[in-house]
Amino acid sequence: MEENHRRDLVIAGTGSAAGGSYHLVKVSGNGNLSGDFNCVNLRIHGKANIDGNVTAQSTLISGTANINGDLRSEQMKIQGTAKVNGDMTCNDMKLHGNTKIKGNLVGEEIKIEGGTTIAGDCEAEEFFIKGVFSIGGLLNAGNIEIHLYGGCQAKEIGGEKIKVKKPSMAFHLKKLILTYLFQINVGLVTDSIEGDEIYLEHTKAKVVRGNNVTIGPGCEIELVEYKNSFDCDKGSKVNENQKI
Amino acid sequence: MSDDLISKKELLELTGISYGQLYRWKRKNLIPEEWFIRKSTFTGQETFFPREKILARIEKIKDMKDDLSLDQLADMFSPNPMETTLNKEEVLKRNIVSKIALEFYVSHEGERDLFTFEHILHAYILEKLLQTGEMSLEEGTILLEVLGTHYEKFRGKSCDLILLRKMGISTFILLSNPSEIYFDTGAKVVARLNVTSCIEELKIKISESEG
Repeated sequence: MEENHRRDLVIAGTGSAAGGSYHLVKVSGNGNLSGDFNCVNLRIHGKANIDGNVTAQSTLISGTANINGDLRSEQMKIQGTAKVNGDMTCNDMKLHGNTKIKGNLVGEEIKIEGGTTIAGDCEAEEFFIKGVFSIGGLLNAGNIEIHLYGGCQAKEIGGEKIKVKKPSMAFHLKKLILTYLFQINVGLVTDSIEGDEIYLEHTKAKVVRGNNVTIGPGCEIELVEYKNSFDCDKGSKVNENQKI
Repeated sequence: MSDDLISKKELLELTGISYGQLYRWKRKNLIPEEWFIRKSTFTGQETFFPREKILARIEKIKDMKDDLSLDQLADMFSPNPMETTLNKEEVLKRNIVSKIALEFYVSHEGERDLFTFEHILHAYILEKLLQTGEMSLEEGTILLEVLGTHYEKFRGKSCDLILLRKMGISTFILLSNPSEIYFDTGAKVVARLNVTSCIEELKIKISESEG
């Protein structure tokens, strides 16, 4: 459909609307939308419940969005809370805030600052996270950079470059005090990590396999299998290491 | 069963690829999700692959990755049809389908100037089965009818074609893959073709003859 002939759907206040093709879909109050949506711009500033699949070129959610279906968008920015009951697909994704995805998350570049729960798999070329996450399946990305700010978990992790770091104390004293107060365990728990270049801190894993494996402080790993090099910090425990 | 499977570790050793490459190819859909078989072993969960399929696929990727981008390779391996149309001379000149099979196809489906990928695919499957001698020309008519009316429903999905004979009567079955099917003892499965791998072969044939 030609984009010029699409109309705008704006809900300011409380309202409901049916699906279809739009240029702009904007909810700045409370909106109940049902049906599949196809739009150029999706802007949610208040609260929106969408019962259907959404396809957009650019998406901004700065309030609360519940989507009972799949969400597909070229560009996506989430600053509030988003719940997606299906899969989420996006080229360029920035998540600040809280996101829950019941299906898979597929993207090119994923940047997360906040909390994310993904029940399925997560695939991306670049995966960067500062915060907390839980992935029920496989985290598969070319470049994975994880900055731990709480308890993180993934069933499996695989990729080319994998880096897991805990931010240094000086900059985040407040957060550290908070975590010690509430005794939240800051670290990553996973079954297996497989990649080419691996650097880990504060990680609990059954198996780590890679070409060059460097284990930083605070890790507990049952088995490391490496091809070229293996380095282990004194403050970490590695039960067994094997060169293949 | 375990003979047909290969563990991830063994696969990497045999082929010399790294974990990073394997995960990358998985992300690009060069290796289908259903080939990743999870099984529990004494060291915990391990991933296994169907041995012959994965080894053949990795050889192909390694051979072709210098000439084609990963996205182009993904198109090649996907069950989606190519967007190519060729005319009759091209199909014959490039040796994609033999003259006999094409003539037979044309005599049933009607003369046409341009052949879409799907037309060529039907003719290709026809030729494949005729060449092995498993199918008679008469059965070829039924085959084209089955593919013509029903293949559309499997478009973009993996499917198998079965030629079944019992007491001299033959019939064709199109079946989604992976799925199990059993027959009574009197029935004989004459041929079973994976349509997805036919598509793959055909795509390679078409793009090779292009260059």
